[in-house]
Amino acid sequence: MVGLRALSRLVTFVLLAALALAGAAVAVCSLGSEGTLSLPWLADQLQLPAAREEVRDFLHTLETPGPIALGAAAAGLAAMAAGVLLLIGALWPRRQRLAVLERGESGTLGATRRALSRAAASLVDGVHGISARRVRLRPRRRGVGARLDLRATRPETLPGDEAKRRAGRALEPLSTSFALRPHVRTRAASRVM
Amino acid sequence: MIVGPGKVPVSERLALARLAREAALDSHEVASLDPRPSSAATTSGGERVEGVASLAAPGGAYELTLYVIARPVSLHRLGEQLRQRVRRSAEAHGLGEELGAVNVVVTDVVGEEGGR
Repeated sequence: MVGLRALSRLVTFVLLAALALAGAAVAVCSLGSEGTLSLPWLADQLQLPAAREEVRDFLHTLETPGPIALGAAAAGLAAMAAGVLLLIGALWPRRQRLAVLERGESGTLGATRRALSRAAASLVDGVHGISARRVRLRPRRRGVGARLDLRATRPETLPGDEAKRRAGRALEPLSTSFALRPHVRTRAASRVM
Repeated sequence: MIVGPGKVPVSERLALARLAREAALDSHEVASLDPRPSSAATTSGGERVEGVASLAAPGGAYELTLYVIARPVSLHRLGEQLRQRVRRSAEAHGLGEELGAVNVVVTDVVGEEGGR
């Protein structure tokens, strides 16, 4: 989703810049009715009459049933799909950067994903033998709380269930004080030769 | 009238932001205030208080938002303590009535050695 959003922003910027330039050119050329800086002159500069002659046959071919028409229809469908994807990238609501932990009359307490992830990692790293490898926080789109995904390594001698239980207990200061739902996954640390 | 260090009158909004900043930095749990969000500052009369946003709230009071870089402490306790400190400081300076909600945003957590 992040890549799609970045792509849609880039495409939006490029298209808007091109549209602005084209609009400025048409506006300037609309001032004159003939000669330089007129719309016919602009069409000549862009070689539109020649382009029309060149594509005339192709357009006729498109109108008749055949493989070219099928290819054009497929290209049109692909363009529509790309447009829908770009619209999703532009309009899909962003996940909150802030997790709201408490909300009351006296004020709210919030934390960035980075701050909460670090706090969670430091709590888990305090557990003997367990080391947090990756922490992801997904704040709720509305309301208070977040989901906390934590991946950690454990010693081979420590069973996975026990490691999860210990990590979950270490996270209790966060999960019980705030509406955080921890999801812990552990794997045995590979032995270093 | 509220006056600044140079005996220049300052707005209540700026005075509250300044008091909140001092109260937060006095707290051991706060490593520093974070000026990075562009909205995390209060500007008035050419003075800028970074890390504290002060906004007019309905009813005539000012709502403060503190952007803090915290040490590894209980976030719940940190929020409570900061609110109490700011409120006490505002009341001590005669600005208790002007203080509305106090929001705390923890932008990062640093180790014990994290400086201000």
